[in-house]
Amino acid sequence: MRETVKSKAGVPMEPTTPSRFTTLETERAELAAQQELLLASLMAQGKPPADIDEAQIKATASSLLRKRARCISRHLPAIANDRTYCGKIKEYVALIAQKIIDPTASS
Amino acid sequence: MFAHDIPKLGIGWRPELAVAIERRSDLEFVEIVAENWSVQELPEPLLRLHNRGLTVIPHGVSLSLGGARLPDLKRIKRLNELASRFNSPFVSEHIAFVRGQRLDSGHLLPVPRTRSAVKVLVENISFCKEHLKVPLVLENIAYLCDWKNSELDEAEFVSEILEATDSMMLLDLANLMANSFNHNFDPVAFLKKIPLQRMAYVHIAGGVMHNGLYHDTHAHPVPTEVHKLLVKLCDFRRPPMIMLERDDSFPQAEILNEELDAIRFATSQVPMEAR
Repeated sequence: MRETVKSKAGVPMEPTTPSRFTTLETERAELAAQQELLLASLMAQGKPPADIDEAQIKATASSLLRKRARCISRHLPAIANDRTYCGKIKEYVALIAQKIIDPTASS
Repeated sequence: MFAHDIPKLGIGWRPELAVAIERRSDLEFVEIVAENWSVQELPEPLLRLHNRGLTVIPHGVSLSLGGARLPDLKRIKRLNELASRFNSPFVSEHIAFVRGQRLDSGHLLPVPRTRSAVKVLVENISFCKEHLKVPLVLENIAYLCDWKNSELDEAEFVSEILEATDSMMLLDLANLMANSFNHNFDPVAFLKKIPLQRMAYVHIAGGVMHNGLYHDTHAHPVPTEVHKLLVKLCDFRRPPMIMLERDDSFPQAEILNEELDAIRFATSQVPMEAR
Protein backbone atom coordinates (compact mmCIF):
# COMPACT_ATOMS: atom_id res chain seq x y z
CA MET A 1 0.00 0.00 0.00
CA ARG A 2 1.31 3.43 -0.77
CA GLU A 3 1.72 6.11 1.88
CA THR A 4 -1.16 8.45 2.66
CA VAL A 5 -0.71 11.81 0.97
CA LYS A 6 -1.17 14.77 3.30
CA SER A 7 -1.89 18.40 2.49
CA LYS A 8 0.23 21.25 3.86
CA ALA A 9 -2.16 21.38 6.82
CA GLY A 10 -1.45 17.72 7.50
CA VAL A 11 -4.94 16.57 6.44
CA PRO A 12 -5.00 13.23 4.57
CA MET A 13 -6.00 13.76 0.95
CA GLU A 14 -7.80 11.48 -1.46
CA PRO A 15 -5.19 9.66 -3.50
CA THR A 16 -4.97 10.80 -7.09
CA THR A 17 -4.66 8.52 -10.09
CA PRO A 18 -0.95 7.84 -10.59
CA SER A 19 0.21 8.59 -14.12
CA ARG A 20 1.84 5.18 -14.45
CA PHE A 21 -1.66 3.68 -14.54
CA THR A 22 -2.75 5.67 -17.57
CA THR A 23 -0.89 3.58 -20.12
CA LEU A 24 -2.38 0.81 -22.32
CA GLU A 25 -4.57 3.18 -24.30
CA THR A 26 -4.84 0.81 -27.27
CA GLU A 27 -5.63 -2.21 -25.10
CA ARG A 28 -8.23 -0.27 -23.12
CA ALA A 29 -9.90 1.07 -26.26
CA GLU A 30 -10.12 -2.43 -27.75
CA LEU A 31 -11.54 -3.82 -24.52
CA ALA A 32 -14.04 -0.96 -24.21
CA ALA A 33 -15.36 -1.62 -27.71
CA GLN A 34 -15.84 -5.34 -27.02
CA GLN A 35 -17.53 -4.71 -23.69
CA GLU A 36 -19.85 -2.00 -25.03
CA LEU A 37 -21.14 -4.40 -27.67
CA LEU A 38 -21.81 -7.12 -25.11
CA LEU A 39 -23.54 -4.72 -22.73
CA ALA A 40 -25.71 -3.27 -25.49
CA SER A 41 -26.73 -6.74 -26.66
CA LEU A 42 -27.62 -7.78 -23.11
CA MET A 43 -29.41 -4.63 -22.03
CA ALA A 44 -30.43 -2.52 -25.02
CA GLN A 45 -31.39 -5.24 -27.52
CA GLY A 46 -28.29 -4.35 -29.54
CA LYS A 47 -26.65 -6.60 -32.12
CA PRO A 48 -24.61 -9.36 -30.42
CA PRO A 49 -20.81 -9.19 -30.72
CA ALA A 50 -19.57 -11.39 -33.56
CA ASP A 51 -17.29 -13.31 -31.23
CA ILE A 52 -20.01 -14.47 -28.83
CA ASP A 53 -22.59 -17.11 -29.63
CA GLU A 54 -26.03 -15.54 -29.97
CA ALA A 55 -27.73 -18.31 -27.98
CA GLN A 56 -25.33 -17.67 -25.11
CA ILE A 57 -26.17 -13.96 -25.20
CA LYS A 58 -29.87 -14.79 -25.01
CA ALA A 59 -29.29 -17.15 -22.08
CA THR A 60 -27.28 -14.50 -20.24
CA ALA A 61 -29.86 -11.79 -20.91
CA SER A 62 -32.63 -14.08 -19.72
CA SER A 63 -30.65 -14.99 -16.59
CA LEU A 64 -30.05 -11.30 -15.86
CA LEU A 65 -33.74 -10.61 -16.24
CA ARG A 66 -34.72 -13.37 -13.82
CA LYS A 67 -32.12 -12.10 -11.34
CA ARG A 68 -33.58 -8.58 -11.48
CA ALA A 69 -37.10 -9.95 -11.23
CA ARG A 70 -36.20 -11.98 -8.11
CA CYS A 71 -34.55 -8.96 -6.57
CA ILE A 72 -37.53 -6.67 -7.16
CA SER A 73 -40.13 -9.23 -6.12
CA ARG A 74 -38.30 -9.70 -2.81
CA HIS A 75 -39.03 -6.07 -2.02
CA LEU A 76 -42.45 -5.98 -3.70
CA PRO A 77 -43.87 -9.53 -3.35
CA ALA A 78 -47.26 -8.61 -4.83
CA ILE A 79 -45.67 -7.75 -8.16
CA ALA A 80 -44.26 -11.28 -8.50
CA ASN A 81 -47.79 -12.60 -9.10
CA ASP A 82 -48.08 -10.55 -12.25
CA ARG A 83 -47.24 -12.94 -15.10
CA THR A 84 -46.37 -10.09 -17.43
CA TYR A 85 -43.90 -8.73 -14.90
CA CYS A 86 -40.68 -10.11 -16.45
CA GLY A 87 -41.60 -8.77 -19.86
CA LYS A 88 -42.31 -5.34 -18.39
CA ILE A 89 -38.90 -5.27 -16.69
CA LYS A 90 -37.24 -6.30 -19.94
CA GLU A 91 -38.97 -3.47 -21.82
CA TYR A 92 -38.08 -1.00 -19.08
CA VAL A 93 -34.39 -1.96 -18.95
CA ALA A 94 -34.11 -1.83 -22.74
CA LEU A 95 -35.78 1.58 -22.84
CA ILE A 96 -33.48 3.05 -20.19
CA ALA A 97 -30.38 1.46 -21.75
CA GLN A 98 -31.27 2.75 -25.23
CA LYS A 99 -31.78 6.24 -23.81
CA ILE A 100 -28.35 6.08 -22.17
CA ILE A 101 -26.72 4.98 -25.41
CA ASP A 102 -28.56 7.57 -27.48
CA PRO A 103 -30.18 10.36 -25.42
CA THR A 104 -31.63 11.92 -28.58
CA ALA A 105 -33.61 8.80 -29.54
CA SER A 106 -37.39 9.03 -29.11
CA SER A 107 -38.98 6.47 -26.82
CA MET B 1 -4.49 -35.19 10.02
CA PHE B 2 -4.10 -32.37 12.49
CA ALA B 3 -6.83 -30.04 13.68
CA HIS B 4 -5.10 -27.08 12.07
CA ASP B 5 -5.36 -28.81 8.67
CA ILE B 6 -9.14 -28.66 8.76
CA PRO B 7 -10.32 -25.65 6.79
CA LYS B 8 -12.09 -22.89 8.65
CA LEU B 9 -15.81 -23.00 7.89
CA GLY B 10 -17.70 -19.84 6.97
CA ILE B 11 -20.79 -18.49 5.25
CA GLY B 12 -21.93 -15.45 3.33
CA TRP B 13 -23.68 -13.31 5.91
CA ARG B 14 -27.16 -12.23 4.83
CA PRO B 15 -29.82 -10.64 7.09
CA GLU B 16 -32.23 -13.48 6.27
CA LEU B 17 -29.72 -16.02 7.63
CA ALA B 18 -28.60 -14.00 10.67
CA VAL B 19 -30.32 -16.13 13.31
CA ALA B 20 -29.20 -19.47 11.86
CA ILE B 21 -25.65 -18.19 11.52
CA GLU B 22 -25.53 -16.87 15.06
CA ARG B 23 -26.74 -20.20 16.46
CA ARG B 24 -24.05 -22.17 14.70
CA SER B 25 -20.99 -22.36 16.97
CA ASP B 26 -18.39 -23.81 14.59
CA LEU B 27 -18.29 -20.97 12.07
CA GLU B 28 -15.03 -19.06 12.05
CA PHE B 29 -15.68 -16.43 9.42
CA VAL B 30 -18.37 -14.66 7.46
CA GLU B 31 -18.21 -12.80 4.19
CA ILE B 32 -20.27 -9.68 3.56
CA VAL B 33 -21.15 -8.06 0.24
CA ALA B 34 -19.29 -4.76 0.54
CA GLU B 35 -21.75 -2.81 -1.59
CA ASN B 36 -24.61 -3.66 0.79
CA TRP B 37 -23.09 -2.14 3.93
CA SER B 38 -21.38 0.98 5.15
CA VAL B 39 -19.38 1.31 8.36
CA GLN B 40 -21.93 3.87 9.58
CA GLU B 41 -24.80 1.36 9.39
CA LEU B 42 -23.79 -2.14 10.28
CA PRO B 43 -26.35 -4.69 11.48
CA GLU B 44 -26.19 -5.70 15.14
CA PRO B 45 -26.12 -9.49 14.51
CA LEU B 46 -23.07 -9.05 12.28
CA LEU B 47 -21.32 -6.92 14.91
CA ARG B 48 -22.07 -9.59 17.53
CA LEU B 49 -20.39 -12.22 15.35
CA HIS B 50 -17.38 -9.97 14.96
CA ASN B 51 -17.23 -9.39 18.71
CA ARG B 52 -17.45 -13.17 19.17
CA GLY B 53 -14.19 -13.42 17.24
CA LEU B 54 -15.39 -14.36 13.76
CA THR B 55 -13.36 -12.95 10.89
CA VAL B 56 -15.38 -10.70 8.57
CA ILE B 57 -14.31 -10.55 4.92
CA PRO B 58 -15.62 -7.68 2.74
CA HIS B 59 -16.43 -9.06 -0.71
CA GLY B 60 -16.83 -6.63 -3.59
CA VAL B 61 -19.09 -7.19 -6.58
CA SER B 62 -18.77 -3.90 -8.46
CA LEU B 63 -15.11 -2.89 -8.78
CA SER B 64 -15.20 -4.07 -12.40
CA LEU B 65 -11.55 -5.11 -12.31
CA GLY B 66 -11.80 -6.24 -15.91
CA GLY B 67 -13.32 -2.98 -17.13
CA ALA B 68 -11.68 -0.74 -19.70
CA ARG B 69 -11.34 2.06 -17.17
CA LEU B 70 -9.42 2.11 -13.90
CA PRO B 71 -11.58 1.03 -10.93
CA ASP B 72 -13.43 3.71 -9.03
CA LEU B 73 -11.60 5.05 -5.96
CA LYS B 74 -14.88 5.48 -4.06
CA ARG B 75 -15.56 1.75 -4.32
CA ILE B 76 -12.01 0.99 -3.17
CA LYS B 77 -12.52 3.38 -0.25
CA ARG B 78 -15.60 1.46 0.88
CA LEU B 79 -13.64 -1.79 0.89
CA ASN B 80 -10.92 -0.09 2.90
CA GLU B 81 -13.40 1.28 5.43
CA LEU B 82 -15.04 -2.11 5.99
CA ALA B 83 -11.68 -3.90 6.19
CA SER B 84 -10.49 -1.37 8.78
CA ARG B 85 -13.70 -1.63 10.80
CA PHE B 86 -13.50 -5.42 10.98
CA ASN B 87 -9.73 -5.71 10.96
CA SER B 88 -10.16 -8.03 7.97
CA PRO B 89 -7.10 -9.95 6.77
CA PHE B 90 -8.04 -9.26 3.14
CA VAL B 91 -10.88 -8.24 0.82
CA SER B 92 -12.01 -10.07 -2.31
CA GLU B 93 -13.35 -9.23 -5.77
CA HIS B 94 -14.05 -10.91 -9.10
CA ILE B 95 -12.06 -11.25 -12.28
CA ALA B 96 -14.87 -9.72 -14.30
CA PHE B 97 -16.29 -6.55 -15.73
CA VAL B 98 -19.59 -5.05 -14.66
CA ARG B 99 -19.96 -1.83 -16.64
CA GLY B 100 -18.82 -0.04 -19.75
CA GLN B 101 -18.59 3.65 -20.55
CA ARG B 102 -22.36 4.06 -20.55
CA LEU B 103 -24.14 0.92 -19.40
CA ASP B 104 -23.89 -0.82 -16.03
CA SER B 105 -25.17 -4.40 -16.09
CA GLY B 106 -25.08 -4.84 -12.31
CA HIS B 107 -23.78 -8.31 -13.11
CA LEU B 108 -20.38 -10.01 -13.30
CA LEU B 109 -19.51 -10.54 -16.97
CA PRO B 110 -16.55 -12.37 -18.51
CA VAL B 111 -13.53 -10.46 -19.78
CA PRO B 112 -12.19 -11.57 -23.19
CA ARG B 113 -9.36 -13.98 -22.39
CA THR B 114 -6.77 -12.22 -24.55
CA ARG B 115 -3.20 -11.12 -23.76
CA SER B 116 -4.35 -7.56 -24.31
CA ALA B 117 -7.16 -7.86 -21.72
CA VAL B 118 -4.79 -9.52 -19.24
CA LYS B 119 -2.56 -6.42 -19.42
CA VAL B 120 -5.52 -4.18 -18.57
CA LEU B 121 -6.67 -6.47 -15.76
CA VAL B 122 -3.18 -6.58 -14.28
CA GLU B 123 -2.93 -2.80 -14.35
CA ASN B 124 -6.41 -2.35 -12.82
CA ILE B 125 -5.68 -4.86 -10.07
CA SER B 126 -2.29 -3.26 -9.37
CA PHE B 127 -4.06 0.10 -9.12
CA CYS B 128 -6.49 -1.32 -6.54
CA LYS B 129 -3.70 -2.96 -4.58
CA GLU B 130 -1.87 0.35 -4.35
CA HIS B 131 -4.92 1.93 -2.76
CA LEU B 132 -6.08 -0.94 -0.59
CA LYS B 133 -4.87 -1.31 2.98
CA VAL B 134 -5.18 -5.11 2.89
CA PRO B 135 -4.49 -7.73 0.20
CA LEU B 136 -6.99 -8.17 -2.64
CA VAL B 137 -8.06 -11.78 -3.26
CA LEU B 138 -9.37 -12.60 -6.76
CA GLU B 139 -12.32 -14.83 -7.64
CA ASN B 140 -13.14 -16.79 -10.81
CA ILE B 141 -16.67 -16.07 -12.07
CA ALA B 142 -19.43 -18.15 -13.66
CA TYR B 143 -20.37 -17.09 -17.19
CA LEU B 144 -23.06 -18.25 -19.57
CA CYS B 145 -21.62 -16.42 -22.57
CA ASP B 146 -18.01 -16.78 -23.60
CA TRP B 147 -15.69 -15.04 -26.06
CA LYS B 148 -14.74 -17.10 -29.11
CA ASN B 149 -11.53 -15.11 -29.70
CA SER B 150 -9.90 -16.37 -26.49
CA GLU B 151 -6.12 -16.75 -26.63
CA LEU B 152 -6.02 -18.42 -23.21
CA ASP B 153 -8.16 -21.03 -21.55
CA GLU B 154 -9.72 -20.04 -18.25
CA ALA B 155 -7.07 -21.73 -16.10
CA GLU B 156 -4.26 -20.01 -18.02
CA PHE B 157 -6.09 -16.69 -17.84
CA VAL B 158 -6.64 -16.87 -14.08
CA SER B 159 -3.13 -18.17 -13.42
CA GLU B 160 -1.47 -15.39 -15.43
CA ILE B 161 -3.42 -12.73 -13.56
CA LEU B 162 -2.67 -14.26 -10.14
CA GLU B 163 1.04 -14.57 -10.90
CA ALA B 164 1.42 -11.17 -12.58
CA THR B 165 -0.28 -9.37 -9.69
CA ASP B 166 1.12 -11.67 -6.98
CA SER B 167 -2.44 -12.21 -5.70
CA MET B 168 -4.17 -14.91 -3.72
CA MET B 169 -7.27 -16.59 -5.14
CA LEU B 170 -10.84 -17.06 -4.04
CA LEU B 171 -11.62 -20.31 -5.82
CA ASP B 172 -15.35 -20.59 -6.49
CA LEU B 173 -15.95 -24.29 -7.09
CA ALA B 174 -19.59 -23.77 -8.04
CA ASN B 175 -18.51 -21.30 -10.73
CA LEU B 176 -15.90 -23.75 -11.93
CA MET B 177 -18.44 -26.57 -12.08
CA ALA B 178 -20.94 -24.34 -13.92
CA ASN B 179 -18.39 -23.22 -16.51
CA SER B 180 -17.01 -26.71 -17.06
CA PHE B 181 -20.53 -28.02 -17.71
CA ASN B 182 -21.74 -25.11 -19.85
CA HIS B 183 -18.53 -24.73 -21.85
CA ASN B 184 -17.45 -28.33 -21.92
CA PHE B 185 -14.09 -28.51 -20.19
CA ASP B 186 -12.62 -30.68 -17.44
CA PRO B 187 -12.83 -28.98 -14.02
CA VAL B 188 -10.17 -31.27 -12.57
CA ALA B 189 -7.76 -30.27 -15.34
CA PHE B 190 -8.49 -26.67 -14.35
CA LEU B 191 -7.57 -27.44 -10.72
CA LYS B 192 -4.35 -29.08 -11.85
CA LYS B 193 -3.40 -26.06 -13.92
CA ILE B 194 -3.96 -23.16 -11.49
CA PRO B 195 -1.52 -22.24 -8.68
CA LEU B 196 -3.39 -23.84 -5.78
CA GLN B 197 -0.75 -22.59 -3.36
CA ARG B 198 -2.33 -19.18 -3.96
CA MET B 199 -5.74 -20.35 -2.73
CA ALA B 200 -6.94 -18.09 0.12
CA TYR B 201 -10.46 -19.48 0.42
CA VAL B 202 -13.19 -21.33 -1.42
CA HIS B 203 -16.81 -20.57 -2.32
CA ILE B 204 -19.44 -23.30 -2.49
CA ALA B 205 -22.95 -22.56 -3.76
CA GLY B 206 -26.00 -24.12 -5.33
CA GLY B 207 -27.61 -23.73 -8.71
CA VAL B 208 -30.12 -25.23 -11.09
CA MET B 209 -30.41 -26.61 -14.61
CA HIS B 210 -32.49 -24.42 -16.92
CA ASN B 211 -32.90 -24.99 -20.67
CA GLY B 212 -29.88 -27.28 -20.79
CA LEU B 213 -27.55 -24.89 -19.00
CA TYR B 214 -26.43 -24.90 -15.38
CA HIS B 215 -27.21 -21.60 -13.64
CA ASP B 216 -25.19 -20.63 -10.58
CA THR B 217 -28.14 -19.08 -8.73
CA HIS B 218 -27.05 -19.24 -5.06
CA ALA B 219 -30.74 -19.95 -4.53
CA HIS B 220 -30.79 -23.74 -4.81
CA PRO B 221 -29.14 -26.64 -2.96
CA VAL B 222 -25.46 -27.38 -3.58
CA PRO B 223 -25.35 -30.15 -6.22
CA THR B 224 -23.43 -33.39 -5.74
CA GLU B 225 -21.04 -32.42 -8.55
CA VAL B 226 -19.79 -29.45 -6.52
CA HIS B 227 -19.25 -31.65 -3.44
CA LYS B 228 -17.31 -34.12 -5.58
CA LEU B 229 -15.17 -31.30 -6.91
CA LEU B 230 -14.53 -30.15 -3.36
CA VAL B 231 -13.33 -33.61 -2.35
CA LYS B 232 -11.09 -33.66 -5.43
CA LEU B 233 -9.70 -30.24 -4.55
CA CYS B 234 -8.91 -31.45 -1.02
CA ASP B 235 -7.06 -34.39 -2.56
CA PHE B 236 -4.80 -31.87 -4.32
CA ARG B 237 -4.64 -29.24 -1.63
CA ARG B 238 -6.84 -28.47 1.32
CA PRO B 239 -8.10 -24.86 1.28
CA PRO B 240 -7.41 -22.80 4.42
CA MET B 241 -10.98 -21.52 4.51
CA ILE B 242 -14.21 -22.55 2.83
CA MET B 243 -17.69 -21.06 2.85
CA LEU B 244 -21.26 -21.49 1.67
CA GLU B 245 -23.04 -18.81 -0.34
CA ARG B 246 -26.81 -18.53 -0.27
CA ASP B 247 -28.39 -15.37 -1.64
CA ASP B 248 -32.02 -16.19 -2.30
CA SER B 249 -34.85 -18.68 -1.57
CA PHE B 250 -33.39 -18.92 1.91
CA PRO B 251 -33.86 -22.37 3.44
CA GLN B 252 -34.83 -23.24 6.99
CA ALA B 253 -32.00 -23.47 9.51
CA GLU B 254 -31.81 -27.27 9.45
CA ILE B 255 -31.38 -27.33 5.67
CA LEU B 256 -28.72 -24.65 5.88
CA ASN B 257 -26.94 -26.63 8.62
CA GLU B 258 -27.04 -29.77 6.48
CA GLU B 259 -25.34 -27.86 3.67
CA LEU B 260 -22.66 -26.59 6.06
CA ASP B 261 -22.23 -30.07 7.54
CA ALA B 262 -21.75 -31.52 4.06
CA ILE B 263 -18.94 -29.03 3.41
CA ARG B 264 -17.40 -29.83 6.78
CA PHE B 265 -17.59 -33.56 6.00
CA ALA B 266 -16.08 -33.23 2.52
CA THR B 267 -13.15 -31.15 3.75
CA SER B 268 -12.47 -33.40 6.76
CA GLN B 269 -11.66 -36.45 4.65
CA VAL B 270 -8.04 -37.58 4.64
CA PRO B 271 -6.31 -36.34 1.48
CA MET B 272 -4.94 -38.85 -1.05
CA GLU B 273 -1.30 -38.04 -0.36
CA ALA B 274 -1.77 -38.86 3.35
CA ARG B 275 -3.41 -42.24 2.80
